[in-house]
Amino acid sequence: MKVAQIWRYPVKSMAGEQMNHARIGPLGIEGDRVVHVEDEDGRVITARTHHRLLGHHATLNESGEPVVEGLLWSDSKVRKDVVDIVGPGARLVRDDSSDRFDVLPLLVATDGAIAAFGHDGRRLRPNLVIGGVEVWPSVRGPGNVCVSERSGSESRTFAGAAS
Amino acid sequence: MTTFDPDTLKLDRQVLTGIVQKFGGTLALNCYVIRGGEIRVGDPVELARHSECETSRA
Repeated sequence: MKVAQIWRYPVKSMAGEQMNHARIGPLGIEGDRVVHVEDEDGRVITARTHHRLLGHHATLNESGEPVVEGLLWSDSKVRKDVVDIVGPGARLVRDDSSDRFDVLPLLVATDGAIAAFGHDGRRLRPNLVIGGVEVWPSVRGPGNVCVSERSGSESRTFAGAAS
Repeated sequence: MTTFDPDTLKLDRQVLTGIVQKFGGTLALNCYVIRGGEIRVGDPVELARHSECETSRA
């Protein structure tokens, strides 16, 4: 098995970016979901209720700040786009705490599971896709991921069910 | 957001229904990070038990 895909979603519920390499910290891939959208009452807004957020593409710049369609997340044009989707008073908020994840920091899928799924794997919004998994093991979460120290050019990632 | 096509944003509720019916609602694994580090596409991955995960070294 190998690391087949790495994904990061710097703005929660927006489209993210595929990466060749990444640093994983205690809260998952660095820069993942560090900005989210809130409505005028301060409630976190996601694509579950406002799916048009998925049509915006976010990446992380060299300073660790999300960029939406080429504009810094704090740019007034980005806020205008969010207001158009969510309504007056909506805004983007930076949050680096562990509260920013719906469940846990890292969603891991396999190529075997995506093949059995039969749809575009991006629908799952995975952080890691493990390749070379022919049969989806019937494991239930939560799982654990640990990355070994790099030896030479490779690290070794271990994944498994927590229980 | 499994029910929306990531490119066209077209809604297809059957996708979520399928995940529930075919996979019992679990198609991917929500994970804690026991130990972080640098990863790269192509790096080897192994399945490990919890104790192995905590003690493993390259």
